[in-house]
Amino acid sequence: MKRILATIVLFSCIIASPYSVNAQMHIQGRVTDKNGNALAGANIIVKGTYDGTSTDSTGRYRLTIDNVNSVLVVSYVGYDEQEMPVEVFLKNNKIDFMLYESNNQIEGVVITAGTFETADRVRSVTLQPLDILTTPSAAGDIYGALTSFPGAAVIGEDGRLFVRGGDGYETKTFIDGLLSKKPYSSSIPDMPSRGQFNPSLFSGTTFSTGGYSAEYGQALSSALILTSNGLPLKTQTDISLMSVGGGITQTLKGKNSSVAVGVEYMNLRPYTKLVKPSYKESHPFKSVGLTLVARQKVGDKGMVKLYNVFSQSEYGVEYPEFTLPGSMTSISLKNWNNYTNLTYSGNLGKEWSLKSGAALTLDNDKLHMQAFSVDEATSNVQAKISLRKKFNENASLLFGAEETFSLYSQNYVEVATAFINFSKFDDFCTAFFVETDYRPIPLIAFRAGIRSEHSSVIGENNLGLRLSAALKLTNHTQFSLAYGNFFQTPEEELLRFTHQLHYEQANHYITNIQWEQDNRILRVEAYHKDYSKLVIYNPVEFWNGNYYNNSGKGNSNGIDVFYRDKETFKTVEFWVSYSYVDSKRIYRDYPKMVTPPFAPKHSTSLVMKKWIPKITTQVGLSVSLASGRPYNNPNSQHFMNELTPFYNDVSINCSYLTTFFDKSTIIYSSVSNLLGRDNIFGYHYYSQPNSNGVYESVPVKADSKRFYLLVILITI
Amino acid sequence: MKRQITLTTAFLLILGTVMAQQSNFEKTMMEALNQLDKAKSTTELQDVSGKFERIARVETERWEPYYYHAMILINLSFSEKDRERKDALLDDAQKGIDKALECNGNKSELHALQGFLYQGRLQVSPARAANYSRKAAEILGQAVGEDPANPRALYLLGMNLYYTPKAFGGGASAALPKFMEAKKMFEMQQEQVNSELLPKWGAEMNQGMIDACNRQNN
Repeated sequence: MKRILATIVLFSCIIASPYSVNAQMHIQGRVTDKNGNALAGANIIVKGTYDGTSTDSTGRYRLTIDNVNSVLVVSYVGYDEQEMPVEVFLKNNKIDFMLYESNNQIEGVVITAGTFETADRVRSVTLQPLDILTTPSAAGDIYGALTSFPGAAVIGEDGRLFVRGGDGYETKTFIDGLLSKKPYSSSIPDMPSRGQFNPSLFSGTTFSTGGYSAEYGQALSSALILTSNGLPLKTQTDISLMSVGGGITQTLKGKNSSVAVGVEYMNLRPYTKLVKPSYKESHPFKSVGLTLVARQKVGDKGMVKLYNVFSQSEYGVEYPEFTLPGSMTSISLKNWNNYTNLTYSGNLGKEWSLKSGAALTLDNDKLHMQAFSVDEATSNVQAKISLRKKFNENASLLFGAEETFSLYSQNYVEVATAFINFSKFDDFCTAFFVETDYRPIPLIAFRAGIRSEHSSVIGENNLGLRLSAALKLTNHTQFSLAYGNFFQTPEEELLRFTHQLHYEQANHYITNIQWEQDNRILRVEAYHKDYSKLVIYNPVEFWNGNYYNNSGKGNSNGIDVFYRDKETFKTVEFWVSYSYVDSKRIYRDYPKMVTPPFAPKHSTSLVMKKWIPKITTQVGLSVSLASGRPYNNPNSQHFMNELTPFYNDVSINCSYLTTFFDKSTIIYSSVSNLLGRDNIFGYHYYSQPNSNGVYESVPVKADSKRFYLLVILITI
Repeated sequence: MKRQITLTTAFLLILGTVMAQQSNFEKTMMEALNQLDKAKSTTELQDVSGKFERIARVETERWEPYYYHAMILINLSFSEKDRERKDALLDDAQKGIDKALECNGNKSELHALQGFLYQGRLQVSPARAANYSRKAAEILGQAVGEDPANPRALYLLGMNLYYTPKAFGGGASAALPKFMEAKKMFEMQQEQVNSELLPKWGAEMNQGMIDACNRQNN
């Protein structure tokens, strides 16, 4: 036995150093980058063994090699490695290596045309949830914050997103990939709506102003894609006290799951006692909201997310009636809305990932005026499944299907004439999409997709192409192009009177150049948008379906400029945006091609935030300026031929972080329109002329000049 | 009979070779770990990181070399000045952690290291603070869940709290209990006779943080 052991030891010694018979070789050299700068700490490896060395601070190495047949590998973090057979050293025992920065370190180019998105890397930080909460002009509203980005116009009397000369209905909101049919709070005409959703629920925001992915459809202009948070950190209670209401959220966290339940109550009655609105409010805005957020981890990377928000609101106001000058009417609005979003995302292995889910919107609006009343109910369900296969770092394929069911009903009653119009219809919209991302070399990226939809209400198919490409010009500069066909089923209010309509259509052509370094980013984007098949109807007989057709059209040409800087001034972050848009269209009841009221030619804004560590306070300032908006004056011969005065808003805010009885507390306050400018969004004209035969007008303005907000957030 | 002996010898030979490789692996790892203990300067750290990288390239089924290589890269990222370079180091460290997890390495240790990596990402740019502090806290919480006696997970969790503003529930007084708990676990770890290759680092830094907390609280 001893002998056997001895033999093993002997043999293993031989095996452990099988090539010791070879002559030793001393080799040396230097490792540099392509500019000849020393790479210190580069690894010189004898392939397949533990042997090797690292370069010193001057990039030099020295190594003794036992086997002439081995291969050297030179590796350095962030650079492509090189191999060299040791034989080469037989001629010259001194060899220098020059390494090149590797692709994935330069970080392959990413398609950016048309999109503002959140990302973790320094290189593309653009928009984060905190940005929304701390933008003064936003007053905590997602949509309000986005108007400080180029491409979105400030339409003060509406509150929805109007992107690049497009109407509000052309923008859709998606949460975790699924449609949110009614993302805005319900409001009466001339009163701005707000987003239904609390910005702090989302960890990512992608605001696409055009040319977006084939995964999203039924939006002519723009897609706002929100990604909800993952598992919360810990069990906690959040209490918010506002000058206009309050709320409480309880979050419970388990190991792989969490549940959060919240309640929010808002009542502007006390506020309107202090700050008088321009029109008498019989029922100042009042709302109750209930939110449920649940998360369950499944396996290693899978996650089920449930999000449900219910809200109920009420509002009543005395408002001009716009028939005879001076006549007023009382308007009341009651709304309830429920949105449910349930998704599963997970890995199927072998680089396949799955995303699927369903979203349900239920909404009911009851609008009462003295002359008529409208009761509108909307139900919408969307189910979607998508699969992504990643072939490698540079190629992936996405495909999926989507089914959307909408049921719409509206009951319109005219009190005086007892005229009743009841419409009810549904639509099954089926969509398929395929998209591929391909990067043949790190400096070039392509994305090509197609999307096909069938809408049952109009009985029509469509097929749209989405193409984009990006080219990296230097380490910090890139150039992108995008093209896409977008379709949208006519809005419900149009389908009320006829279904003999076609898809409205838009084609986007976008080119973009972007420079980015450290925490600075500058992007300039030029676009052309072509609208066709927009719905047209007769302004007098708007109820007559026979006058409806798809002969409308339009176009938008413009430039968006955006600069953001978190670097130049310490503890100061700012962004500046400027948009120019030349938009013209003929649609709805327009008699001719004109610039619509929601497309001011020039708009610019500045947002600035300074963090003062000493007093743990952040102060913010936003300034917006926009040129006048077109409006139609019936006293004039020409349609939509006049411009409102320019728009200006200066808002400030202040967030103070502190502890209150040892609990984290944030005290937030903001004031909009600090300078008190009397902004006019447009004019309403009475339908009957006065005794001099002149149509009198009422300017459309914010319901109060300034808005003050005070919020105290306590976390227990 | 002769044939049998030849077979047995061949079998033992193979076994012997495997064992020799095994011990060679452990021996080289121990050398590298000793070198790591002594390494102070960036150059010394780079040197030993190179060593772990070479081992990892051969022993693709072992998680430890990936772990130590990644751990040193994260450390190097903190002292690196250039931001893109910081990210490049962390990108490589991330690959190491991913591979180590594929080798079924110690989950709690690897998740703790992942938390450390996120803290590395965080310090590249203040703009990332909120996002990565959250990510780090999440994965470190998971690491503690997987092994409540993992002192490194506790220490790193303490670091997260220490650098979180007081108003967000952080600060020295909030972090101190974590460091104290980590200290207890570091002491327990010393008494246990575990595999030589399991991570042991962190006790000194943890003590340093305890001192820093006490100074601030006084």
